[in-house]
Amino acid sequence: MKRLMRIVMCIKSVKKELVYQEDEYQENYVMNPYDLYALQNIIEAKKQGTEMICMSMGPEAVTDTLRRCIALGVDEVIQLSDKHFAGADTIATSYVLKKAIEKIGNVDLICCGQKTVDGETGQVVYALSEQLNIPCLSQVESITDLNQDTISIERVNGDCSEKIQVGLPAVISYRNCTTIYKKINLLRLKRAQNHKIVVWNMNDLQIDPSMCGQKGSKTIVQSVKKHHAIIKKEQTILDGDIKDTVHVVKNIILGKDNGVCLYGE
Amino acid sequence: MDFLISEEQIMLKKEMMTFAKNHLNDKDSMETFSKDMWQAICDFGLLGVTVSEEYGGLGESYLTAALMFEGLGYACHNNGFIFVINNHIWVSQNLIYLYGNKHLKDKYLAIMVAGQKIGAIAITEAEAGSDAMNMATHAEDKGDYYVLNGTKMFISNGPIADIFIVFAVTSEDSFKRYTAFVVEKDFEGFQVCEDIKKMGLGACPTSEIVMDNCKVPKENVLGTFNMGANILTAALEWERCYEFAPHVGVMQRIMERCIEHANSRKQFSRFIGDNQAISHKIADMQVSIELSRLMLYKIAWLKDQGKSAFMETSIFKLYISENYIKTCRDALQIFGAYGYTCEYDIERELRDALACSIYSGTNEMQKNTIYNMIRSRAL
Ligand SMILES: Cc1cc2nc3c(=O)[nH]c(=O)nc-3n(C[C@H](O)[C@H](O)[C@H](O)COP(=O)(O)OP(=O)(O)OC[C@H]3O[C@@H](n4cnc5c(N)ncnc54)[C@H](O)[C@@H]3O)c2cc1C
Repeated sequence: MKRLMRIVMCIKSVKKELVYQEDEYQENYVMNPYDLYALQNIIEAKKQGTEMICMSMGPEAVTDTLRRCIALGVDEVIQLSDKHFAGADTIATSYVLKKAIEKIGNVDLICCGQKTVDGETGQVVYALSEQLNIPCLSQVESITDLNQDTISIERVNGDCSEKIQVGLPAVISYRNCTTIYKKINLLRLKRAQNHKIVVWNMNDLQIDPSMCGQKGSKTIVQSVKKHHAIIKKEQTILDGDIKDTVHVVKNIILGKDNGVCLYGE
Repeated sequence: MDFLISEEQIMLKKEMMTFAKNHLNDKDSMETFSKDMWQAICDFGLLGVTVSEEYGGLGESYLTAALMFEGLGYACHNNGFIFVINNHIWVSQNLIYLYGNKHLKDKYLAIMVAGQKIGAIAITEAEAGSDAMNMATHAEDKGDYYVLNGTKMFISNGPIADIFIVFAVTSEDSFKRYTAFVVEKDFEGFQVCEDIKKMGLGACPTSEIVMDNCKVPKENVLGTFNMGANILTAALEWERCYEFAPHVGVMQRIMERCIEHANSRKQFSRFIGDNQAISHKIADMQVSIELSRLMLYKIAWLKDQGKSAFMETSIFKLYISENYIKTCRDALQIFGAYGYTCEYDIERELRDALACSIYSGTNEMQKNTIYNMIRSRAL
């Protein structure tokens, strides 16, 4: 008998205020919007009978997010939690994720969001595919076909749209994000509250402490500053004769003009 | 009275609001029933909120349901669509759940909880409105089945419903005159007439239904034969509570819009909200929201204790409908001419609200009920 297809989705919890302005959800942490998009799309694309597992590295705060995955239709959730995992950069994070994927075993497809709205690096998906030594398909727009042996996707590459088919196992990352739960179900949400979350620590994953957390990281975050939005300057569209336009641009560069120019003046 | 709102209840109310905000506000579905929104609410799993898990429901308490319906009214602007949900749940599916025999429950409950079949209730007739007990629709015993004849009027969900709870005369005995039947739209002799156009609640279609020698199987009697009056009383109790629960949320939403407008619109160089004539209207709204909410929670608590709340539901229905209409009318006044335009959506809220002093028994009839009950208690 053919075994079930197994998909693993990597999820991150981020601070609620980074995602929702209104006090919409109870939790202080919510699912990273890129992961939410990826998760909802992969649930739609997968065939019935496929086993779907979500995992998240993080402390207690990730459990609410993992419970929401159950409410969306995921079969199993795993929390990767250990004090040694703290302070991990993308290398150390992807290492722990890789070890967990290996422990799960027989994983056909690994799915991620493009990036997280707190870290914003977008590197984990590539690091994970390198660590696992399997192909990576990034910027995925949609899955056009998914079966036991292959995956066909449509992805956006610059201005082009590409259709690609690769053999499994593979790592994919969706390009879009969403803050809207499409298919949350109350009964599943209620059951999810009692769902036992599997927790794996460093020993469960047989990880050397020098490879994870801050010790296993190649980068250190020294400080985090609040970034203020750049106030846009006044803009002018120059749509006249090319010679005049060049003249105006030259004056702007030389500082003779503030860029707000009226033709015929 | 002793109720404490738990974390889980707050969570469910918030889920309801988030879901409604994102999925139940399709602008093109204000005047017609939306199948897509119906599918969305089915998938969300609200329909079986108080029904046990055995039939696919959530098995929640009536207080949780009250909180969730308040949240629904707050976040879903489509009052007509909410009316569809309410008619389906509280006066159709809920009656089968509470009074149906095993056959009826097995046959209809799971498919109604899943929303595959829509429910409706048929009491009113052209000549029997407030005086509903004067109905002419009657049922005749034909051995293996009953034959129903009669016409029912103003049936909400009529054009989209599959399952109707129909009340008919079955006896001459004045105390045991009526029976409730579960009638499917496909039963022989059953006919749904054209949509009746209304001034509001456009997303909830209404129609007349005709039963012309309509054959209803014996097992489709709801509750005990000739004891339909009890079910009718229960139906009114449920609808006077839960069809009005969302109005608490609607009033809150409208009040918040009024506060925003009163504090941004300037006339005579000051915010209009700085005039007592405007601020008092908003204060009145808050008073009626608080009192309605308390009464709603009290009724839900009584129902959770398995107690009757007939008088309380009459009081609640009367109070909230008067104040819901007043809130909408005051909102229109606060918004001035902008409120009278279709763009601001306040006029629609008022049109939708006006029906609530009529359905579920007119407000005049509620006063009769309240007085009759206190008089009989006093004597
Ligand atoms: C939007 C909407 C949805 C509805 N949905 C349904 C439905 O799904 N199923 C269903 O069966 N029915 C439904 N109805 C019908 C509703 O229950 C009746 O309209 C209501 O009971 C009043 O009956 P009537 O309209 O015939 O008014 P009438 O009974 O003719 O009353 C007219 C006026 O006379 C007053 N009046 C009558 N008798 C007395 C009295 N004894 N004392 C003081 N005043 C009195 C009334 O209060 C009212 O002001 C719906 C109605 C509306 C508006």
